[in-house]
Amino acid sequence: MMLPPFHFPVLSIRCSVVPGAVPGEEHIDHFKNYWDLTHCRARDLENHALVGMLLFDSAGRCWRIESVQDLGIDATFWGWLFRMIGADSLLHRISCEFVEKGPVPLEALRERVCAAIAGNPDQWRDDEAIAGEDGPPQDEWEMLAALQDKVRQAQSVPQIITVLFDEGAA
Amino acid sequence: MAQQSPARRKPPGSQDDIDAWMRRRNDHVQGAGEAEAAGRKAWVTAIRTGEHLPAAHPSEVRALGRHALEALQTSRPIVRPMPIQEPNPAESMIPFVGPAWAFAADMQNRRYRHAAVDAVGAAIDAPFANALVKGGRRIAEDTAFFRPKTKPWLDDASYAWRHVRDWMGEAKILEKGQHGHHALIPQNGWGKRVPNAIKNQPLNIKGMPDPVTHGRLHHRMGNLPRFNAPQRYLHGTPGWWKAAHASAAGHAATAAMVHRKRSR
Repeated sequence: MMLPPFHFPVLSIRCSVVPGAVPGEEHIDHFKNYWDLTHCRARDLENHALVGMLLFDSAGRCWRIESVQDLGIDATFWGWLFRMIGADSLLHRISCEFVEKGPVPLEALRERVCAAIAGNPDQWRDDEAIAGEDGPPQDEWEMLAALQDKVRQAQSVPQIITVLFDEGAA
Repeated sequence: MAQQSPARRKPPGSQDDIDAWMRRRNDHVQGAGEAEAAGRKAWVTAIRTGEHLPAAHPSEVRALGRHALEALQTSRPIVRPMPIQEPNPAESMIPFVGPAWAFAADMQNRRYRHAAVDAVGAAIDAPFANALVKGGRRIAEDTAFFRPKTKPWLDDASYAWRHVRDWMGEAKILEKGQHGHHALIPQNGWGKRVPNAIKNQPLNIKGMPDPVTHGRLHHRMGNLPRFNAPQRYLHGTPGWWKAAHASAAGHAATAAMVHRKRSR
């Protein structure tokens, strides 16, 4: 299986598969390495969550996943047993067909991410901050706007990932 | 001279048939022996137990035995259910099964007051048993615990609320737009010292009916005051937690009753 020469970390945007999701509602995630890109949960396969996913790598290139092939559960017997008793969900090895969409300017990517944040606030909402568990209650939309501002100030894909997930390779 | 008439043979089965007569006699002798043995046995048992017998004299034992044998032949076999033993303390702690078992044992022994207490205990235990069943189903569906795709035991950031909230939506634990409240371990305050991998798990998350109810757990919301302690317990803790408390109280009451019963 030939994989494109990604520069990790890779930012991904896909349609949300949460029950009740409306068209255009998007889910943002990221991949740290090739292992991440070639493994997924059974539920993601059932929901066809990966088909149509857009990948933005750290070098500013963009790919789209056209199709996903399940290569079976990735575990030895002991690994399978370990996962079954609670260490991890069972993962499937997958083979994806990528189609390169060409370079994407950082400005366009930032706006794309901001639109995805606005379209799916459930993923980014801090319920306890809104309820005021630690201090005065905060406004949900002000918090989302602050997050979007931070994304707009990011200077690279790894920085966007850091802003969104407080982790990454920035 | 008068002609001598030949000897007439009786037809078979008639009273004068010697073979039939002998057979009847043997049966009578054997039956009399059995009746006398049964009568003597009943007589000796009655002497030991003081039971009243309709035989005033030892000569009536044969009639007594015959009655006993006839009663034995005509009566149907009595099928007795297997006696239900009372559950031991460990068994009585099994949610719902323990009180239900004790209820059955008390009903069998006609201790109706205790059975009523057991029935109440079983009724209180039912929600907790239901919560356990639901938990088992979630384990089977792989939605009981959030587990990230990679480095599950090393990278606490993988258990951040943003990942968990999203996953809980996909796993249909929280509905779209529904607030999730950190019920037992708070997300902030002293909960900051607890790893995300522990506090951001479905067991600790209570789905809120609306954001206002969530807010009132911590603050007053507009004109609505903050919930008091019982209200916070009612609205802010998961169902399994409340069911566990009720179950514990029920088991404590049952244990006290068993202790009192044994100390008598």
